[in-house]
Amino acid sequence: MIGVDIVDLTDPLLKKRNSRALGLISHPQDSCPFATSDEELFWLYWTAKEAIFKAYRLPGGLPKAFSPKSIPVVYHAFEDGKMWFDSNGTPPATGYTQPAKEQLLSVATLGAIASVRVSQYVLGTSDHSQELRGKFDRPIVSGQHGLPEVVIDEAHQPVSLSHHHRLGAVAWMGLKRDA
Amino acid sequence: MTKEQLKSEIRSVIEPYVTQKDLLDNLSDEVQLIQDLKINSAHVVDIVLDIEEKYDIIIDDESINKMNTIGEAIEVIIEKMKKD
Repeated sequence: MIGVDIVDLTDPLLKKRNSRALGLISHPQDSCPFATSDEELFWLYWTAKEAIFKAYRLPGGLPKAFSPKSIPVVYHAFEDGKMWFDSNGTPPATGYTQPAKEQLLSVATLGAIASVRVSQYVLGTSDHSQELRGKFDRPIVSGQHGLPEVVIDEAHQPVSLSHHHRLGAVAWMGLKRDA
Repeated sequence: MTKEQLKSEIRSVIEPYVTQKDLLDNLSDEVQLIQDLKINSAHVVDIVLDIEEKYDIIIDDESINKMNTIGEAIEVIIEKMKKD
């Protein structure tokens, strides 16, 4: 399974994330040597935990309500603009966060991270979900377990979508020959 | 404060985070914040912080996980206001 999360930090409704906010989502094992403020830490953990939560999806829907405090995230490397993380939850997941000045994008998978492909879009309509599906250049269908899948050369691959404010992202597992 | 008054105030708190305003019509206790009102999950923390500030309460982790619907949010606030 695969999960993606995007956060648009230009959203004027986002309050400043202080230590109280960070405490609302932190797991005792959370770790990130690359952040210098509660605000940075909050969003790095948040996007990673959202992506991991989506990657945990079970047939028939998400496993339960999103509980960020129950998902450990350990950032361990920062290479080529990507902050790599692991989560030793059950099952373990791995992924990366791409931080930028006004946005963060995280991808997580229980499979091979090298197979993950990501596309990002700027959105402008009020129905972000439909707009995102319309902009993605491959058909997204409901799979046999009700989870979204992308059709690539007649193969059905896991896919995850995320949108926030004016940004959207689609992440999917590429075919092995594309890796 | 009555439960209906509290529901009206909660509506005011969450209204900025609801893009499709018509979803706020006929707000029942069973309405789910994320699934039904399509509130972006990133704003759930904003709503918790707004509620804490408005009612001068601290919402513990266990209670946050119970605040999936309007009715559940109201119950949590009532409970916390009693204790504080």
